[in-house]
Amino acid sequence: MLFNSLQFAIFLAVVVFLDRRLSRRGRSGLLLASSLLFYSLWYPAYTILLLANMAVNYALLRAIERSPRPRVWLVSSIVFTLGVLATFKYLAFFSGALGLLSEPLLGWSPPMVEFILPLGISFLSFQLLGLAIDVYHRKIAPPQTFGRYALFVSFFPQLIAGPIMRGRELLPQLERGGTLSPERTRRGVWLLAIGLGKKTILADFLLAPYANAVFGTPEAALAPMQLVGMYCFAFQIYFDFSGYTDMARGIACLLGFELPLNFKEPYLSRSPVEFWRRWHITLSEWLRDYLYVPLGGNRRGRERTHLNLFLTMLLGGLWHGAGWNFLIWGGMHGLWLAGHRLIGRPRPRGDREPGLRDLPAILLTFHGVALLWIFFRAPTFAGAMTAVETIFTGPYNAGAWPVLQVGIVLLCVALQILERVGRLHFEAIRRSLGGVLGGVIEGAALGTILALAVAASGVGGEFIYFQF
Amino acid sequence: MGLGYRPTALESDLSTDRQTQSTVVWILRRFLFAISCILAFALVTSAIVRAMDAVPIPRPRIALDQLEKLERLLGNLADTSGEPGTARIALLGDSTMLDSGRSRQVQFFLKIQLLQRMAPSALEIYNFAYPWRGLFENFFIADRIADAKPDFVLIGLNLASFSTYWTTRQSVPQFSGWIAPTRLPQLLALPMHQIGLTADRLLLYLALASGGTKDLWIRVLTEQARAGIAYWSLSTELKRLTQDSPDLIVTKQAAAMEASRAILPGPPARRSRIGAESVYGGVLSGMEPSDPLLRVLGATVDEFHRRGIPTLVFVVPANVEHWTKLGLHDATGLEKTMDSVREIVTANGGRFLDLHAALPDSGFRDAGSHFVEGRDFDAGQLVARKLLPEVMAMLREQ
Repeated sequence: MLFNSLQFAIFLAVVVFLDRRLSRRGRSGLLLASSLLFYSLWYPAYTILLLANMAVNYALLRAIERSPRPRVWLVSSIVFTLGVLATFKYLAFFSGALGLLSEPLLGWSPPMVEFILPLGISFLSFQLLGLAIDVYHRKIAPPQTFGRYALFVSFFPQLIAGPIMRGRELLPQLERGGTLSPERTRRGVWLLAIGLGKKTILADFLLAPYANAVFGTPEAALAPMQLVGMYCFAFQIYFDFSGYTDMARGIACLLGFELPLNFKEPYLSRSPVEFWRRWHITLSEWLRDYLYVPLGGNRRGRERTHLNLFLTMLLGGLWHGAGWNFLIWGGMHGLWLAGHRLIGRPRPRGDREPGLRDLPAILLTFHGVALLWIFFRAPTFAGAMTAVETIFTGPYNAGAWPVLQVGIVLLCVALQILERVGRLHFEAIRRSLGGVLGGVIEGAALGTILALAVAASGVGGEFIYFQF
Repeated sequence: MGLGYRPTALESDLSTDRQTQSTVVWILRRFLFAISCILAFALVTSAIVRAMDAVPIPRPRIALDQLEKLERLLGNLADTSGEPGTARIALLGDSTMLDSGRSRQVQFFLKIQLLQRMAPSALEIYNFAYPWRGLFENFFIADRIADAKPDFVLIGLNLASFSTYWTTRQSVPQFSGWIAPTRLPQLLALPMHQIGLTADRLLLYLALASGGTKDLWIRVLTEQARAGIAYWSLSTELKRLTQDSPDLIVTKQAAAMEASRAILPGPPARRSRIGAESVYGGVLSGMEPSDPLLRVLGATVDEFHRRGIPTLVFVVPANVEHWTKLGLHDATGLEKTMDSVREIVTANGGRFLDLHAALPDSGFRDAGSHFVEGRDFDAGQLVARKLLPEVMAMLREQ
């Protein structure tokens, strides 16, 4: 069930209505039941897989806690979780990759077995692994009941696309049953509306059509079109993903929970390091804590640090999807991060927000990121190289710039800056809109976003019979 | 549990404005918030629609528009139910079976030939065919057609309807909203995901179709489609006003359409090897009876069989001669597919007629397996003639 669908709106309204009329214990039960219902409504058969995955992992988690040899159980948990992930997400990819080697050497190819990808399996696998490792390191106690554990894993606001939650962030909130307040509800409604607007109006309606057109046939696009197409996709993926995360956070707020911020205006970053601190933050932190640091992080010398960075980003790329394009994209980011570290560029202080004087670094970083998105998005490597070549070789004749899309890209830049202003001055804005007049302004703004979102929701959908 | 959880800064900052405001102000704020939200929604929606009317942006056809034709035909079919001496045939299929006016094809010729040979007091062929109507849509509407009690059903099976492009891009999952509740278990066992139909969407469509909101639903979808057209129109217009080079969207769309069809140049249009492979690949290499899409066909035939309506599934002619020229024709694979289709159809109580190789290359007027018509050679007539013995046999059994 997609957050931006009518059926989800109905589902959420029912859950929120019931949630506010139940006791704490009852609310936990409701959230677990609604989370499992949410999952089963996508593809009912895979609810069994989810339950089995959780049951086995919970048993292993308790074994990690109680056994005198917890390492064995931790390894079992990791192998099991990654095994499930590999089977359902990567089997076809690995079979294909193996076939590339075995076909010319042995004249044999492994059979291609492809499953329907279980919803959110990458996110929940990381969440399962993170908790198992944290329990092993005694950073957190495991949930005392399977129900609590199941809710931690399947909590529907973050089940499909994160944010990837740590045990220490979500379990205590689940233990308390969530805390409802009018202000949290207000924030939840706004996050939901902003996320919906980002996803439907910006990503799906304004940006995706042009990006799809450009990436659909890269060889036919002139340089300005290719460049604008690249910008369009960079903003499309940002507004799509961050919009979805905003909605997840908003839904959690409506239920009395807090999910962490997952994006902090990443396209205003001054370096690739900073970009990964602002883009999909929970994934970056997960990769850092559970992959980069265990690999040795930066503690084993310069070369090893670079290798660790590269490997982490390579696997991070593969996490995004079972395809060579994701692997290449991740590897390139790894090389960029290692290269950036190698030339010893000073890291901007984490607590200083970027300003105008950082503009050259911001532009450079943004263009680097946008350029690498081409490898993420292009259907083939050859297509990606064609796009890159066109962008770098031109010609940029004045007559080929798509006016509307250039305007849309500029709007996206403005919105990115506006997001930062909004985040930094959130409290002042909130207070200024606290009165009666503020209520009118908020209501009108919300109604406008909803109307635009509804109008924009049909684009790219399968209902439109343009071809006839 | 002593987990050391502390509220985040944002959480602890959630000051209770409620406590600092009087109850009256608090209630008034919420009331005005709700009113202004509803008003803004209505005003903006109305402004968008009025702006599109003023330009004007045309109202496009959407997938659900075909419901109108479906309802009309079902009404006509049901009205003639029980008339003695009347043979009523329901024809299902895609555009290759469509009586478009320009090419009065299979339906027309079949009717003429049946009337000449059998002379029933009345014979009507109700043509439920529609462009891109495929396996799933036929399954969705099968019970409604069965309710109208045709004497028997003809299903024209286009081999291209097994392709991924067809199932993912051309299917109309919204039709599932009209399926009878008793058929839901059967539907849930079918590969719904192949047309992007998830359980939640199914429930929504069922609610929208049964809740008397069909017209509103179609209106909203139409206006949303218009908004999409408005975007493209604005893009093209701006491009036209400011520059002399062609608009990317137009050229890209044309290029993408060309690529997706992968049609070779020159009349009559034919698919390239890549195009033919992408459309017919699975069919050419041989489909197993266990293929999920064949199960959908089987379930459709079964629905008619259970209701006592004889059903004939015939494979619509495909351009085998062209496949041979492309070096794609695999007689073994194709035979395997035909055997699988036959097995599925007969196992579910239907009859099967294989006409996939009934026409030469010259029998097709385009790459989409539409038939040629003309004074010298009429492919539709030929197909009707080949269908005739089976149809007559079924009518006699009636």
